[in-house]
Amino acid sequence: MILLGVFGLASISVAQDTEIASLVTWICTSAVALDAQTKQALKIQVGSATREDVARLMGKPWRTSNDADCEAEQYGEAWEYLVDEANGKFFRIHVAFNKDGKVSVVAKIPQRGKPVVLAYVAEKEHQH
Amino acid sequence: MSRKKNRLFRKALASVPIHLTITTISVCASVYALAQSYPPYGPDIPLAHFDHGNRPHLTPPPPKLMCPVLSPSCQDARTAQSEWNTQLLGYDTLDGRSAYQPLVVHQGNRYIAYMAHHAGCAISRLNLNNEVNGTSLLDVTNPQHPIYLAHIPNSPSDGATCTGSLDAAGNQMVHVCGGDSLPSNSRAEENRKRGHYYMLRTNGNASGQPGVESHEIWDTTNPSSPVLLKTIDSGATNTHKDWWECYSGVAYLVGNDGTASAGSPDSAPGWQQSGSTQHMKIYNLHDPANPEYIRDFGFVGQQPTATPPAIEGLVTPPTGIHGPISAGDRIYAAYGVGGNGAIQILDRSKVLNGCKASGASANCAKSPTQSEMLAPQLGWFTLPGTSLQGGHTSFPIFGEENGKRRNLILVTSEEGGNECTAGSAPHAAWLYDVTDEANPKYIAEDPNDPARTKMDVPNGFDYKWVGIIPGNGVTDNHCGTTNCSQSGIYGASVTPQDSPTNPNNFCNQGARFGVHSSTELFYPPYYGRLAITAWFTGGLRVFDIRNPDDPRAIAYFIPEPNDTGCGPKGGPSPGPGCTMANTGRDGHTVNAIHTNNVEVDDRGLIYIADRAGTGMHIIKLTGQAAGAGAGNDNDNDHDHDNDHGHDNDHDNDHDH
Repeated sequence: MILLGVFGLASISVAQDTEIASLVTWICTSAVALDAQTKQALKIQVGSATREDVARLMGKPWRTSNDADCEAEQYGEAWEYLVDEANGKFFRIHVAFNKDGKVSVVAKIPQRGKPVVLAYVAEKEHQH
Repeated sequence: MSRKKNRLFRKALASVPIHLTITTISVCASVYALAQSYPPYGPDIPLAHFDHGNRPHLTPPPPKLMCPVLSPSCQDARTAQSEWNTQLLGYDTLDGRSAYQPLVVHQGNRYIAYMAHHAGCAISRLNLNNEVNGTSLLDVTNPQHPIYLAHIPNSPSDGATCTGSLDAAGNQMVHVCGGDSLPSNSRAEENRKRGHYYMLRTNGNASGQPGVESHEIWDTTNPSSPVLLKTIDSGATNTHKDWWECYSGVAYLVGNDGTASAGSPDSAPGWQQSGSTQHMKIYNLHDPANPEYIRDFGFVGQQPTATPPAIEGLVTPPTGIHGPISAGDRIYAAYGVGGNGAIQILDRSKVLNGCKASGASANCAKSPTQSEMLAPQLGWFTLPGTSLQGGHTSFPIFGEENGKRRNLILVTSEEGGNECTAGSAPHAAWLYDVTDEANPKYIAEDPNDPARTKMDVPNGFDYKWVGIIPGNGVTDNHCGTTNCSQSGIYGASVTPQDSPTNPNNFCNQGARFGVHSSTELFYPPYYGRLAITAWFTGGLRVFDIRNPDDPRAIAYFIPEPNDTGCGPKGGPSPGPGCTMANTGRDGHTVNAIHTNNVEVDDRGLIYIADRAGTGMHIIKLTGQAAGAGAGNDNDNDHDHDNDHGHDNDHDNDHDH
């Protein structure tokens, strides 16, 4: 399932930066310990999943934000999920949407350290 | 100035006669007491005193980093809390809500912070409910211990819910007037308003659905229990940065009328803009429960009957307004936000009374003629960088120099793209001399800066520009300078993201880097001395503008990203991590600081709001910045002298 998820995101993602390398490293080193929320997050199809799809997979978000004001070049809606790792540590699953309401980014945000992008698709230019 | 000379200079200044210090304290105390007399609260205008002091330019110290050296065991490339001539006094997470604008009001014997939020949802600490973001009210009388009093959720009339679309949600802007300041038409009205405070806020996000937004007035006399008093212009769209004169009641509301408002008596459909689709709807809100519509107004070429091509501005139709500021008998209106900018100087009386004059057209208020649009206009100008820079804030500074009147406008653009988007310009701040309003003149030009200004913050942590492609000369007769070069732009590979050999720069923090806004309160001790700006990932940035022809950087504050939680004191509640992530180039995602707006209170404290949900920080100026704010050239706060800046003008000693 994980491999399918990775294959799926790689096929639709246009990202070619270090984040994807980090993702591959992260998947390889932690695949046996993937928590349920991350497994669900990996099922989110960037570029096509809607808010309803995300809610169906992930449940109700802990926090949301939309800071897309009149000059924003990136659309600003994002949802956050808190995940308790049961070892006293937490991380967040970050899901960002584009202007069309489709998921553009799924990322894992550790309490400290570098976020890991699970999936990404370039956002269309925001015009209004 | 060398370190040795600097020490000698400080020693010399320490011997300044004691009576001068006492005089300074007395003057400051009196202006503190009078702070409520100035816009937007009162009609008086403080007089700035400019000079030609040859003060050394300073290179700000590099920011602290979460990982000073990137390594396999430490890969956090974000900036950590960093101060230069500033000190953090207080902090509140605002429950992790994305914040646009801070406003701190001296309300009775308390200081109340009104924090205006972007759209979103978060759990309120007060009732543990998940509430749509609106306005947070805090008691900041003791800045070290802010007390969260209330959260007024976004009104559901715009259709926003925590489980559905947030497109039209949010309450980004706020203004507050006291009932004792607002004029009254009758004794009964005066009695009804006595002792009350009224909050004007937008209800809706400028990116939202057309025709579902509005402006609202709340009675916040008891800031712990606000009461909705009136909804204005329901059915509006693109509501944004209002201005409310407490001494007259006149409010300049920013937005457009959507089709849903066509039936309301003050609806004025058909106004046209490029970019941000918004203009001014002007009311008198002296009696907040009974708004009085005056007229609609904007840049000539935006009126409903305008026909192309527009005779002014850089595009047809001219770009929409971001927000006006009125002072004296002038209105300063900034158009374009982040591109195709223009600043307009208006005769306030002619704007407010033009449609009442004999000979005014029958539909002057809602659909003026071109001549009626031009009549109040005293001057206008574009910005250095022309199409790539916009008018976000236009803050007037009335002053004198050598006994002669000298009036300026501080202008900021707005950065709109994350991580210095390839092809976009570094957005900055500029000073214009508008003593001759019909012929504004650009000053403080730095031809080596991409935005041609001395009021800029380079993107490198070493305060050098990285990855900039120079701009081109363009023809523009309204930029106020002989060289109207287009701004430089960021190239395609400005930042080697997270390279272990490069400690990165401000363009590598996920979010935007560049200016957004300046303070708008006419706080006398800082007026004409300091330009206080919000610079997104660059944090709070302060410039010394006492010599406006040669401004210099003098202070900054960059908050630490919150990795500990959205609880009242930054701890878990319900879980760690409060700063939200933003995604920049090639999917690069970082949960870093994103300082959106800044304001001062009448104690001189500075408040910044974080767009990434980190919260509100209360900051005090120290060292050279405190000295400059007090009009001195020595450090004003030796106990907190954290001046680590470097003089980079060694041959240019002070002339005092």
